[in-house]
Amino acid sequence: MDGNVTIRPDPDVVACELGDGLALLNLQTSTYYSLNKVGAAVWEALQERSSAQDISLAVSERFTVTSERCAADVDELLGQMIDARLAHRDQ
Amino acid sequence: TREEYVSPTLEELGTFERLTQASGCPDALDAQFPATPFGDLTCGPDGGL
Repeated sequence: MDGNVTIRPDPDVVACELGDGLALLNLQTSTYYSLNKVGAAVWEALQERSSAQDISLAVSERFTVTSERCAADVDELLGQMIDARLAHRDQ
Repeated sequence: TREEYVSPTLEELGTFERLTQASGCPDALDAQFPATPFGDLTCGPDGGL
């Protein structure tokens, strides 16, 4: 995924705390998901930032991780979120 | 002061019955999401969540 592609959370998704992560509920697909702590940080960053690059930077500043690994992980997670219709690329 | 890192995970937990006015929202809503995660969801004007 291009690090500068704009990603938006889907407006039909609601989130709530679940343990140290988040539970996500997609009201359109009627499906629940869970995110672990780092996944929750990605979701939170996604609410305020719009590119994978910016999200990765925010997460790497909070956790002990190299920027390369963080960027790869964030990229993979965002792809999964798009596949699950939890987020979408902005046109 | 940075926190310990683990790779982020997204796990599908399951699906829920779609709630409509016909299915008895808000009674069905309270049954599926007791005042628990998503317990603060309410019924919209069209009977959906």
